[in-house]
Amino acid sequence: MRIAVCIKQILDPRAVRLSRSREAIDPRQAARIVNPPDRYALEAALRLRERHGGEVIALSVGARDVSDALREALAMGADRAILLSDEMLAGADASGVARALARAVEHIGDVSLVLTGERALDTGGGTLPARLAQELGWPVVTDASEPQLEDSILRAFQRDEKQRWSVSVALPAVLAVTRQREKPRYPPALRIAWAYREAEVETWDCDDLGLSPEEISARHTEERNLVMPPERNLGFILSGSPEEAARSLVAELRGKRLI
Amino acid sequence: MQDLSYLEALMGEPVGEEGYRDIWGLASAVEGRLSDLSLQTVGKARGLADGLGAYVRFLLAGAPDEETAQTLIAHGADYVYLAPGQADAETLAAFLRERKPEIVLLDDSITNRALAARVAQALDASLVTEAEDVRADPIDRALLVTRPIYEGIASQVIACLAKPQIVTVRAGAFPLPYPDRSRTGSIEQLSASWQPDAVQYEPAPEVASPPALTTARIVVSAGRGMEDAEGFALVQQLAARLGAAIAGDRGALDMGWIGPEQQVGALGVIVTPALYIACGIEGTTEHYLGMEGARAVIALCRESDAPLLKAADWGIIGSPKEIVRALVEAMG
Repeated sequence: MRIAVCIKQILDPRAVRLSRSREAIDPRQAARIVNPPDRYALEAALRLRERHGGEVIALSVGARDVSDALREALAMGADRAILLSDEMLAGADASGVARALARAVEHIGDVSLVLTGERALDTGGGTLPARLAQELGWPVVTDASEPQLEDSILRAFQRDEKQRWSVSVALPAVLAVTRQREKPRYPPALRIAWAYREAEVETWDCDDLGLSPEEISARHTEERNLVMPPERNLGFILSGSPEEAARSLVAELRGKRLI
Repeated sequence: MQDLSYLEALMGEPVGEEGYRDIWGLASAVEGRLSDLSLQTVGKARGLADGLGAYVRFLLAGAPDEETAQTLIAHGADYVYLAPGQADAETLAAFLRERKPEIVLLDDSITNRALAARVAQALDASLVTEAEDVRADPIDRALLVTRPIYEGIASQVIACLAKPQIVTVRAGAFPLPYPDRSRTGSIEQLSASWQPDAVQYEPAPEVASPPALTTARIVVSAGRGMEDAEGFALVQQLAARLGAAIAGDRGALDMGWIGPEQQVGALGVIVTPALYIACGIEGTTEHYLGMEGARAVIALCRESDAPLLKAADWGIIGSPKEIVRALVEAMG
């Protein structure tokens, strides 16, 4: 079975800071990493390959430096890595990226499962998996975990706002994987050395995929200003008996929708 | 019901550009009820419609009846279309392609995000998910939607450039509107029906798995100030009540309450939750470096000069055991 895994390189969201004076994101401390949920998707793909055989292909969109993310995928165990890189794609939004990825999946050929992370932890709206499925004309299962394959029926669990579901879908399908249970593996040292020194990251552009500018460059939304969270006022002590202090704390937390 | 013809006569043109008009929504009736989120969404749709001079039209899926339709009308809808069953992307996209709404509002949920994404992709529409705020630009009528980025450290305003403008609205973003039972509206039965889903869903048994420490929205962390096993059990109760991950500092590790993979600190795990509750942790620098990225911090400390109190949004001074017990009770 051929599995494509779509990964995104993002700024480490745990190291991104806010600059209040400039009302902007301060990315200086933040390294570029593979979007954490995408690593879970890759892990799920590698486990399926171990049980059922086949091939795992990592796919990403971006400038040349995104190939580092793909090398990490190769180090973890992906068989092939393909970077979609084109100036035309630089300005594409979620719709254009989904279109390009779908075209790449078709171009690879014979792919029966596309895995990706539930969402990108930078500015992602979590819409890519469903958009990709729409472009491919395949069904999608979002927020899925522990995928299993039985006779070309894919089974997984999904947790929505209310409960946990057992879902099944006939392949081909798109699956968006959550960060649960099956943690991404650490690559062995030799494989890391191979991935960064010798392995090839294939690069495709829009011509290779037969994509025209009109198909991918239309902008549907535009980012405007940032809204800063209220300034924190540190060191506030709630007084009174433990019961009184606890009650006022719970009221504060509910008021700020923290619990 | 308000009539827009006077507005159109005034402006000399149809309201809304390129024939895209009105605000559509999708709600689902379960056992004769609508969720609070659906009522918040229809209330917001009403507010936008009044500003733009538009009608509010809602598709009512699930198991709709006359009464739930009337509830939607009382909360702000002008037209309700009964469409029993589970909405699917192909049918909804075809329907919206024909009706050309200016705005489509959906409740934000896992199911609706996927539905909205497929529809937006099919229609080349604009889409913003997880909206915390929605307003219309008074000059060009474009929607300006606020949504969280980087896991909530700030929010981004996004302008919608393409029509229809599809938005999924977060729970609690807007107040629950007061129903006006004297409002009137029209209720229609839709003849078209939804297509079955290619994905089969069956209820699965719950597995009690606390969220992973590094991805949890809330972390409850214990320190030596919890005194003994009974004190740590209270911390576990608090975490279970909040659906939070359990952690601790070096002291909790030494007490044998937590494993090294749960120790928050520069030498342990670095966490960045929306809320960090430190129970009986006075606060070393090593611990501080592990949780300084938390967006809100609560410190429950015995000593009034505990260093962590200065880094906390809220502090309570006293016996951490008693305070944690009181917190569990106060949450009901």
